[in-house]
Amino acid sequence: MMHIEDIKQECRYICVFWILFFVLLSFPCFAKVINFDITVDRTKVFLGDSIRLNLTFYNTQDIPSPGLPDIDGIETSYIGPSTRMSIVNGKVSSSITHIYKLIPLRIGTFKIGPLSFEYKGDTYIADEIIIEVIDNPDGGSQRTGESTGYNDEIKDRIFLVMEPAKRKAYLNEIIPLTIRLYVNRIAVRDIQYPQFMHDGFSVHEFDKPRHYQEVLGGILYDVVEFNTEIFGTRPGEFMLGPALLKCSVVIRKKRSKSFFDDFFDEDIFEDFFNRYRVSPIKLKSTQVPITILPIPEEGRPEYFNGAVGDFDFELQVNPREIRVGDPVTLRMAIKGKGNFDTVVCPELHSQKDFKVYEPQVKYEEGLKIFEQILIPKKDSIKEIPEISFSFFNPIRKIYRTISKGPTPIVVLKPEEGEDVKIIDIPELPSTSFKKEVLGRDIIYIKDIPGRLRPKGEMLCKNKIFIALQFIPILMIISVLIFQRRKDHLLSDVRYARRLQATRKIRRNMVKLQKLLESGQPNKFFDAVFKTLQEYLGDRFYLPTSGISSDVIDKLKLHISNNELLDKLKECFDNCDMVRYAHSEATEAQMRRTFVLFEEIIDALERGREYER
Amino acid sequence: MRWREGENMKDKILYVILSILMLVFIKQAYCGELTQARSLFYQGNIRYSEGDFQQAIIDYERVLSLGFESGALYYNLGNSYFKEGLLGKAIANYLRAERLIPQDADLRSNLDYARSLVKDRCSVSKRKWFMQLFYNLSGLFNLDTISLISSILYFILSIIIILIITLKNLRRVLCYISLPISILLVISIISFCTQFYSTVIQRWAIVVVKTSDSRFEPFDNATSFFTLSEGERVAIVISKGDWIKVKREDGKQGWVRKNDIEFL
Repeated sequence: MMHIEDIKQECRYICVFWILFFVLLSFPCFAKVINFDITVDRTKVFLGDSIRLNLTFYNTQDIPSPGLPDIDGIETSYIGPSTRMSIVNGKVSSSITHIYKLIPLRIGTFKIGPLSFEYKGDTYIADEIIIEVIDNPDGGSQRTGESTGYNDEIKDRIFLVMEPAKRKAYLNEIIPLTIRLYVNRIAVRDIQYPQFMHDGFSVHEFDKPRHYQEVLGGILYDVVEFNTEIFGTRPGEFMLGPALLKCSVVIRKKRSKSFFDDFFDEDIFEDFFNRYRVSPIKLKSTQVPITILPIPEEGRPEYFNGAVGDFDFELQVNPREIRVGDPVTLRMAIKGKGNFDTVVCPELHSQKDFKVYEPQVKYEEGLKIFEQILIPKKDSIKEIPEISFSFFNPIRKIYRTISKGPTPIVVLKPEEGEDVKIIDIPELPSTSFKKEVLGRDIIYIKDIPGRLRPKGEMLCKNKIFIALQFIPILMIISVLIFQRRKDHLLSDVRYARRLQATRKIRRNMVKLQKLLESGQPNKFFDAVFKTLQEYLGDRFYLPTSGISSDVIDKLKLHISNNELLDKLKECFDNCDMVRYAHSEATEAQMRRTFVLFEEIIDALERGREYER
Repeated sequence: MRWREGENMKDKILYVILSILMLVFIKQAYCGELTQARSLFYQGNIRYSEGDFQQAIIDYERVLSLGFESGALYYNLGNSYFKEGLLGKAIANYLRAERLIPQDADLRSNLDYARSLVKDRCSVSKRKWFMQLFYNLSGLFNLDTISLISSILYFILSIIIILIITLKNLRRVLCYISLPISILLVISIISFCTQFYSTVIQRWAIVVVKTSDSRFEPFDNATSFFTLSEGERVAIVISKGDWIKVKREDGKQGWVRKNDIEFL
């Protein structure tokens, strides 16, 4: 019994041992080896310039900077991490890129990597990368980045690659063609669809271009990929391309280094002074030789019409029971991979007893449907004959024929009294009416010359027309001035009376002159007195009736000239003497008073300096 | 002195008579040239109908050399050049006719057709909608008509302003009337400015050779920037000797030979 127990105990130990052994053995199985990308912004650099090195880890964002091994002749410094997360079609992807700056200290070829480090039990590895440092032709200028050696590098920084999926294909066999635009550290605009020489090939339209990034020779490129399909239209050796692509690149204008550049940071001022210009370029790819093989004659089926690919053929007949003269629709669907341009409607083995119409064609991605109408001509028909579709499979290099049918149908006699006669309508399209093509040419000449006018004559250059345009402006200005004056006269009585005074005095002077000549002293002096009274009242905004030689003192407020005041007093006194003293005035007195009167009016009208 | 005054009077009368006679002679001469121009036009039409397009071109060009122009003349000349296979010259003349008879349907049709035959025409940069609106508006009339419309609107608006100043009780009503007229006037002035700029200030040219290489610099060995096709319209930027700097409709500029283009 003890022996058995010992054996059991021993077995337990063995089991535990093996379990522990396998558990321990399995630990390293959990540790993974993960690849990461090592890329540089350029592999060829001038001494004195810097290189940007990126270590990119995918599907994670928590890996710390692994650090770079010491490289003899290159000084490295860590710039920092850059994380990226994208969601495409609901699929989330993330990455972290650790960026380093490498400054070469001498000319030569340097190898960085292969890199390897461990983190949380996983081993991360990356390929090596080669950097070439060459002598700077500018004599060691410290300018970094874009401008240095631009022209030398441009071909490496933007280029076009044309790549057919195969170099040897059969006639009519689809060849996927990819044209890629690689761009590194250049801003590119106005990218047009590529064009390429395709003698001997038929070309489909380009799909929408794809954008992605790709590492090529250790350099990370932005790639614009154009995809299309081509197929050879005749056998022989052909050169495809070169592909041409037009686009514009944003390049920095060359500027001589000025005194001020030493003082100002160029990077900051670059943007302000717009030192970039857009330059159109035409990129050219290399030519690609392609051999187009003829489709083998051997084993070519009877119903082969040039279809190349791998297809499947399905047939549907509807309805199966009809009367003579009624249509039956054959729906022939061909699906698969290949050149659908060369797929034509499969043929009925026999068209006897049927009126056959041209098929309607529908095309979807990977599927071509032919719908053909058949009309049975007699009721003795029992089936629709066999239909065959043949194609050449370029991968297996064999012909294949898919036959469907014969399909049984029931054709009944036409209804009683109905005389069915199937006639051919010549050239009537079953699908749609053709669009009428109208001719196009120029319309016939004019019979009459119209208004022949001097060459270059224009109304807007005509001087009279231009002068006329000033009339409304002048009219508006005149009316504006008149209206303002009118408003002023209505609102300012003093101003109105003053203006009136001048007008009245002109009239009254004529009257006085007549009275003087007629020799009527009383009337004359009376008129002089009243005229003077009225004038002074209007002129100085005074009540007219109260003005006489007694109010001369009041006029001192308005008139500063004492001589003039004396003249006024004398004039009033002369008038008063004749009017009230009834003394006879001589003609000389009248003339003297008139002269005095004239002098007063003249002085007041002319001399504003007399007025206060 | 009296006899001198009499002499002066005689001189004045003589001057007036001479001036009238001069005007009559000028008018006569003008009428004579006009009659000649008309007869050349009809002669050109006969040549055209006979299929002698070259002679028709000579007749129409002679009308132009007499110093006269008309929309129909440029149209017929454009047709003659078109028939002779000179697409560039045909388009140039259609565009000249467009300045004078912009609404002519035949002209529009022929110009569109001729333009459709221009190979590799560059795409025209799209204008802003309001700019396009003014271009379309200005394209409805010729410059003289727009000038006249603007002038009439300006006179009407001036009268309304005068009435607003003088008739204070009708001021509100007149202001309402003046508003649409002001808007119309602004539109017509902008249209006028647009067309004045595009026809008088901005100089245009048409490429009259099959293809013309536009270069970065005005030298024969300079790098070719783009190629212009016959019939393409370009704006003149500057000229230097035998070279003209032109601007294509998409904004690209380059130097072309003077002989390759014809000024509008």
